[in-house]
Amino acid sequence: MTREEIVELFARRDAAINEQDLEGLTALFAEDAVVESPLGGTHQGRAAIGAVFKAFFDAFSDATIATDDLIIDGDRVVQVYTLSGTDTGGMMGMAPSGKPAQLPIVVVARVADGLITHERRIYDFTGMLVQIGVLKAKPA
Amino acid sequence: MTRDEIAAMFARREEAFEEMDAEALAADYADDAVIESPTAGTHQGPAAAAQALDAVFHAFADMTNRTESLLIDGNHVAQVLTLEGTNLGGLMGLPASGRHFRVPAVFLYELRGDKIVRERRIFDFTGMLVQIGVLKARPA
Repeated sequence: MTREEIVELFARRDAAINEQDLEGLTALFAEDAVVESPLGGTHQGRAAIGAVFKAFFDAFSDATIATDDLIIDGDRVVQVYTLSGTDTGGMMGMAPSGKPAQLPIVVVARVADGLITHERRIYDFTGMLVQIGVLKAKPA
Repeated sequence: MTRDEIAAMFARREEAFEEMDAEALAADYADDAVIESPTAGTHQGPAAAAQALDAVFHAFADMTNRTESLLIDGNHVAQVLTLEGTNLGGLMGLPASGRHFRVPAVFLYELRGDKIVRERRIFDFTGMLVQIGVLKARPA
């Protein structure tokens, strides 16, 4: 893929997340794509990837992302974006807290033939759970 | 800097990190470099960088920083790595817990000439604090 094609792919990924377009979003992944996510664990294939995105959209119905950086090196991509959203739907079996979260998220990806083939998400997952009230943290 | 020069710079930095050589690592920062670190907050310039690194090396005397991949895109670099260490020296005013942590991380860099002018570190910082016992977390 050319650099321009990769930039366009990730612009479509951003738009699909911001529009909560589950079908459009999963179509950006290869049929056998693997995603490693703190929220969903390691999962493979469009159906599983879509199910994890749906759980996220159900939890954060107003979630938006804004890309800060996109670093492209051949078929490898690192995208950094800021996620903003409110726990309106509940997460991990908990009732919705109504609390907002805002945090940077890194996506480490590989691409081929116009699609994402591997995606790994790295961020302060525990901090996010504290922000939305799923976890309570205090000094030891 | 050429791609090869940048790769060599980061190989040298990994060696300096293994040797816990804060001065050598800090010498790569421009005077106006801005470093965003979950551990040390936002700080600027080589002297502050050395001080922050010394604090980390004091807290985690067995710290390792294993690079999994390095993406180079012009003057932007993304380093995907695993951070690992044991809280042998205390952190954030608390005594040493002797507890171990391991987290995936992404460090993002912007270069100007042969110096780093911006660095941003993203990882599950809250999870790290829980792993080493600085924070206690429980379901809300």
